[in-house]
Amino acid sequence: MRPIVCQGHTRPLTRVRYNRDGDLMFSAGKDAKFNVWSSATGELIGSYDGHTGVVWDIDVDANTTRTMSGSADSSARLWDARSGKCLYTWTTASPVRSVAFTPEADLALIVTDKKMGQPCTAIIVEIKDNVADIPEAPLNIFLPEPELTPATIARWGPEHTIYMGHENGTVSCWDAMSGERIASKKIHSGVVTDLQFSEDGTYFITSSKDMSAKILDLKLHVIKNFQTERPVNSACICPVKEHVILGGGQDASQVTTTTAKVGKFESRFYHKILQQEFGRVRGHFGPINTVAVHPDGTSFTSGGEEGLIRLHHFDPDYFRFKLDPRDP
Amino acid sequence: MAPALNIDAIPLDIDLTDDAALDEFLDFGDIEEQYAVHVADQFDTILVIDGVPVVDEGKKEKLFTVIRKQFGKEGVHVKDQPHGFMMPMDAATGKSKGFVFVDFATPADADKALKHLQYFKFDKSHTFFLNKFADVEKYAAVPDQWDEERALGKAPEYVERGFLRDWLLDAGARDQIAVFNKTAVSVMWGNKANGPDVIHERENWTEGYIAWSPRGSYLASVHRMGIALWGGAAMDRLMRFHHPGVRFLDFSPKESYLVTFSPEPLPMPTNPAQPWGPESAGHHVIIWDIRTGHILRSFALTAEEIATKNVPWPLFKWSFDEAYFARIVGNAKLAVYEAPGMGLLDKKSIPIPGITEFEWMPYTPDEDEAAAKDGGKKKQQQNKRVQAPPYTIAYFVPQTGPDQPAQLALMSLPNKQVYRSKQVFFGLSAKIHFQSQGDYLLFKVDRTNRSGKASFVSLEVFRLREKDYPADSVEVKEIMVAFGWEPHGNRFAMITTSDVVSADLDLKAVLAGAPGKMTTHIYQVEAAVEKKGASVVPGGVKLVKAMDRKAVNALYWSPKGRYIVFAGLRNLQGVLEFYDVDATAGEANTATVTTSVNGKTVTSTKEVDPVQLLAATEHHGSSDVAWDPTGRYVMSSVTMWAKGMDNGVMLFDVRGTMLYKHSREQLKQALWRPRPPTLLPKHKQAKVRKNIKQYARDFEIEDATASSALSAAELEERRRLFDAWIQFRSRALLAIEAEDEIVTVLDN
Repeated sequence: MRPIVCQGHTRPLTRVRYNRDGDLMFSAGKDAKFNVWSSATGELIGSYDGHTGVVWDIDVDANTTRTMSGSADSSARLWDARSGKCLYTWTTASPVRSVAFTPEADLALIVTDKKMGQPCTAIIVEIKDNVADIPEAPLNIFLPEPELTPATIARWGPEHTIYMGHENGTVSCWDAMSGERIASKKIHSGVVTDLQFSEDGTYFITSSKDMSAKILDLKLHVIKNFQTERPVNSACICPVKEHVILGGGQDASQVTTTTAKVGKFESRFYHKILQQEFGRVRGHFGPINTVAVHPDGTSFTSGGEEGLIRLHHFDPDYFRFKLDPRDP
Repeated sequence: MAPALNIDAIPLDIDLTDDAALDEFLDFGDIEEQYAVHVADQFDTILVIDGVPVVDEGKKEKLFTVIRKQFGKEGVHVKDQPHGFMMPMDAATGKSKGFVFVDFATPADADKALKHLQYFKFDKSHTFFLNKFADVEKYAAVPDQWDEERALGKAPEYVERGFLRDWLLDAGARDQIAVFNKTAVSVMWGNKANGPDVIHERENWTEGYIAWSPRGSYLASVHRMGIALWGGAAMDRLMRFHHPGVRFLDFSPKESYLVTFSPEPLPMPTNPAQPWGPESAGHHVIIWDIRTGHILRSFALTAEEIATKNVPWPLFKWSFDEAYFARIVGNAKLAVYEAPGMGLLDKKSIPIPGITEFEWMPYTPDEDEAAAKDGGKKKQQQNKRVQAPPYTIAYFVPQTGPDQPAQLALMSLPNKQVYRSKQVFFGLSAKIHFQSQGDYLLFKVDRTNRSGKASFVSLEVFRLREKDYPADSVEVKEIMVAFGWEPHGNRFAMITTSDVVSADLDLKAVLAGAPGKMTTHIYQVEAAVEKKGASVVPGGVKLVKAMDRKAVNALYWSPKGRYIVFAGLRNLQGVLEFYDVDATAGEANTATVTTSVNGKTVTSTKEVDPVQLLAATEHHGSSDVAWDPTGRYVMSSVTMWAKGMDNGVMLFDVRGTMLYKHSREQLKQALWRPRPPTLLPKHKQAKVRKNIKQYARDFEIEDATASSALSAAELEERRRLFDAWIQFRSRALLAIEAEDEIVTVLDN
């Protein structure tokens, strides 16, 4: 598994994602850049230019017609995926932490940060095929209750629900239309750093600075726990094999004093069911901030604090490997 | 506090409103005690002085004036007349009775008088005896009949302590490990595989740290108020030792005595919870009897130790059988005490001007008697080895002047005879290392050349099992980083470096220079061989092997000898190198090598290196390495003191194969439980060693069953996990289907 090192960011990566077809890989970084790459070759295809602050989160719709980004410049933008043209800009009162399309891409979620005297808000906006039809007023705005703010990550669940991870380790579930809290539960003892759904949307994985990642069902029951000895910044669920991938490492603030060996800037592979670690992929020399897996499970990408993206195509060995005879 | 009312003792017909009648049945003793007027508080300026000249009324005033004057010279002031003196007169003779009550100006004056003017020589025929007025009453009130229960309180009921060596009965002969992390202490079995088994785990077991006693019977926990000892099968608390602010503790070798040190001086005892007497006030060190929990003696620190806050620990070094313990006092005297009497040997310290170091010899009697008892008379050694006197102290006195070289000496006790000594020129300081059985003694002497410019180390090795205790000297030009005798063996290992900086364990210097600038050495001490009819082949110290460029700074011999681990601790990346230093054990150290040269087969003999590297591995950041007491396993640990993360222990076998890794957040200590020495005599041990294969077979079978049972359990657990997952998935999928159906219904 020789990785492709993608150089296109000058500052730490914040997010990497694949589109649903898996031919493209998108990345965002603290250098305000939002790039798109060929997931097969690692070639830089283009970028969505316009943000003036850290791009915290990005999303691609199911047909790869449009992309979306949220930035610390207090705006969320809608882009034409092919041309890279900015179609629409939502201006917010504070930096944008999370953005996400619904599967139908008729709605989008924008979560803003509790910063600059502003509360953390969740904004539901409508997306129209014709950009001119997008109403200026959002469909709904609600505040995740004070004790749950700030939210660090938010994703759409099924049936217009929203799942959020919070700074205090809580995971919560909301009704997007009414803004009502359906459930919330203290899952982690540290900041929730990432939240990614399984392929069929029936469960999701959260990662946290508390050095663990957990699989939760939609009712917020902890199904699986993956314990490590370093903060986990991101975690994803492999679609084909019963695996999860955890990315992390020693905190960025301490990185200057540690070597890569001590920092453990590694992608760790765990068996999803047995919760056993069976492999690690080294290479980054800063903590891994974000990981994503190809929708077909043929490759995975990690983005590091050092500004590099490493795109790994799995070897045939990986698909033959079985930790347990019941493995697919 | 309510008076104690004994209801049963009250007659039924008593009138409860009649106070006088009721009083008879009520015990107001405790109230009376509580509100009792303490006489001492009132009369603490008054002393009774005995031995005063007998005078008549006329000379009374004159006597008072003289006493006042004399006391005044000593800085003690008596109250002005008419209250200063009160002298009872004998009405019959008109003369005084030879004693006088003196009222001093302040209680401080009275205390001072009591301290300094006791046995005051008033004149040629009169010596004063001073007593506190209150004391006279107190001692007069002592009952003539000795009532033990009243004096000492009721003897506590006998409590069974359980079998303190319970852990030695483990069928698998496993050893225990005590681990202190975060706030919890756990005692666990150090298993061969699959991590340790926790036996006891308690939160806040200790406030400071934990320590095992030298034979493993007790686990000591350190608290603000003192030390607690735990032991037995249930790890119950066996004894508490009240010593406020205790910082260090030290056990005597056979676990009879406990020495504790607190930086806080002991206060004047004011309540029975403080077990020391007034004579201990201001002392810092206490020696306890572990079995009874009683204080045997307390010790003050020297003024210098208090001033520099530099207390050597352990303060006392014990002889092999705890019969004596000793310390150096002010680089001038060696104070040797006897146990359990706790008195100085012959009531005085041994003057050895300039002494800086000393060490007791570990004494192991030859087992001839034991062997003889077991019917092994024939095996009695024909050439009985020399045995140094059992109570031997080796000490070092550095060079004091140009003509007074440093002295290395062996002194026997209790006769205080120096029976072997050696002079070393320009020896400035030394460390003394005895081999575990007391067969060899090594002084590591730091020396300079005559000009004092170049410094080097010389190793002075004494062979204590040979006639006249011959000595050899080895010079080491480099800086010595670590040293160790092979237990039960005749080898010693050391690590040296030519680089001054890396001696301070500086990573950068080591990395900048080379992979490592350390050199490891293995030496062997050889005895003189006396051949029949031939000359004596002199013995000596021989270098077996030196290995360069190693990144190691510590060495650990197996407690059984032969195997050694060199470790690069802390900044040196946690390198662990396992060596067998006797790879040719029992065989000739040459091997026949057959090589084929140009089609011809050539047979040659080649010397086999006795020092073989078994494994080089690493435990990143490890700060501590310890062999288990049987020499089967090596545990390396990363503690929070050395590194903030990845705390935990790794267990290796003798060959350096990692058995498991066990993570523990905020690990503070991980300690093997020591074992007492074996009770098997040597020839029986030899028998076991001879039949080791037979024993091993049983254990191998056990191991095999254990591992297969374990994998069965693991398989079961896997099955459970898979089943649970499949259930979870099918529930989730059913829910989706149900929703789809609803949606379909609604759509229709």
